[in-house]
Amino acid sequence: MRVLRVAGFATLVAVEALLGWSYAVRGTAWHLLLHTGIGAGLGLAAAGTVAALRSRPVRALPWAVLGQLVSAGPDLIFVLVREPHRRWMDVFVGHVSVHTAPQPLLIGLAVFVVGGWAWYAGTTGRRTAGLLLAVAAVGTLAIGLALHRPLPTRLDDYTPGYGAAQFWCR
Amino acid sequence: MRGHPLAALIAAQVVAVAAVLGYAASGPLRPGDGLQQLDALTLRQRVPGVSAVAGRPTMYLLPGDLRRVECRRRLAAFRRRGLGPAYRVVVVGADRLGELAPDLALRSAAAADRCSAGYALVDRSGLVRYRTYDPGYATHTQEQEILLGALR
Repeated sequence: MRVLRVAGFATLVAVEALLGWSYAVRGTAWHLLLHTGIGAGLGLAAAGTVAALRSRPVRALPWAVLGQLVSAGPDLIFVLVREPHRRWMDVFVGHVSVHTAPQPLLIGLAVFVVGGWAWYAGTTGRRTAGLLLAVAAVGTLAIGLALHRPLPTRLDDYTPGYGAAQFWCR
Repeated sequence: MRGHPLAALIAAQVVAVAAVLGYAASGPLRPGDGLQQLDALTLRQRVPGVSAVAGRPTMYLLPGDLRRVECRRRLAAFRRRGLGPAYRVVVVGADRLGELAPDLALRSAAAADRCSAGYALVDRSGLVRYRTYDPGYATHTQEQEILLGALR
């Protein structure tokens, strides 16, 4: 049993390392931070919910990694299936729209922090707090998505508010 | 993690906050950062003077200020790697099509970093379908080929 646990842990660490490397070589650390925060946070919120409903501790790491993989789904599809991002890919916990939410990285960080406490509360027997915090984690992302700006369809849509999206040298 | 869940949670959150703050220290947390390398072909616009070279998906590469050694080095690295034969590349400002740059620029808002590198992708019918800021474009040919492949 111990061997299986060690193997499982090693697998999760390897998945994390591979995911991090995949983003790093593409110069997309920003996207790694974003989807890790949102995915792991929602995974932990789900773990907290399960722990609260079952009144039993739940391991955090598998849920966090699973959530991260779901959140990074379109990026995996891009690399493995060679399919660019499309609007329907918002089914992966708002993967596309969250890019134009107000302060996406801070939203991701907030989801991660609140989701983490949801897991802790749920897994330590604080059932109500666990459930409320899980709802708060989902709500944080939902508010961010509700406030997102439409993706640009014309070059004129790249207004100064889009900051680093500008690149022309004049 | 079962043994010390609180310590593990706090450690993970400290790391997360440090990662975001560390990233922010390299530049402001701008809303537009999400549009860099978004890899979504949401644009659909015809731009005067911009067309698909030989009717193939074309990359209009803006390598930045070519008076800078670093910009020239990146461009040379990109040319060594190259894109597949199914695609075409126009290096704006570095060849006979350089005069197109102002035309494209007029259709964009003022640049945050006026000499940063990036590229725009044009489909076979000549529509601009994508643009991004990407100072690391020289080593991101796989990403570019996936996007251009979707424009075939």
